[in-house]
Amino acid sequence: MVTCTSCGRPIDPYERYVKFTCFNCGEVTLWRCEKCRTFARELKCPKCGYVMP
Amino acid sequence: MSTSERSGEGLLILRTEYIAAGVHIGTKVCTVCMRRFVRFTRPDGLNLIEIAQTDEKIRVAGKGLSRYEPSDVIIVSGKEYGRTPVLKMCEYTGFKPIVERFPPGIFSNPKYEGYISPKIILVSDPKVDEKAIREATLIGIPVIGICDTDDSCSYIDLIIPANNKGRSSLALVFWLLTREVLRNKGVLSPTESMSENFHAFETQIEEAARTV
Repeated sequence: MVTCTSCGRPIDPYERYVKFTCFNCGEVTLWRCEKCRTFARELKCPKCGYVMP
Repeated sequence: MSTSERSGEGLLILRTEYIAAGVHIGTKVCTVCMRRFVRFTRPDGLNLIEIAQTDEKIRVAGKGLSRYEPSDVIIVSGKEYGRTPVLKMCEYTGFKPIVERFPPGIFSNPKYEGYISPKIILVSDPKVDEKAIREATLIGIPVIGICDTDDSCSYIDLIIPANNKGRSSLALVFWLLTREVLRNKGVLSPTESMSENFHAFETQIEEAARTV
């Protein structure tokens, strides 16, 4: 099971999420759960350290 | 190398050009998620956005958008003043624009005639383009948004903090995004600029009045 890059919580298969490569480095796939997206929680790329959103 | 880069500030264009276009002008309202992009609040209550943050986010958004195929990127703008900048950007980059009424189900209903499945969307105002964000959330695609200080950042994966209410401001932001995308795709060299300046991206007032 994949985990949310923001909060580290496992993302359930039925949950809405988004998956994208880091906008800055483009090397790491980042996952965001619905809750982190709703509350606009920060996420940090594990490779380049770029902080989004 | 641009003038601003030569001056050592490292911005995409001169700081004075950002200020002249009013990119840094926020609103009197400031949401919690936008607080981090505010430089200071004027005595009259107007919040001013940090230009360096805007510049950095435009750079990163340009990098991110350039990694996608042009047909996979949708740019949505329901605003009058966002119409011309979006159409111009799409003309240069090949992205798909949605500047009219947002058709419900365009991303989420495969039975809809004009159904498309993009991989990323860019919105000019999260408040105006709320339906586009909601549909993008349904199908799980990332959203890049130009957010003013009074906008909610829910479901936005990359915030470009800028004034999204001004004509010149929107034109300048889209012009810079276009230039960054073209530079990252290799169409323009890192020091080259487009033939048109950002005033060509501005919506003319007569044009906006005609569409009302």
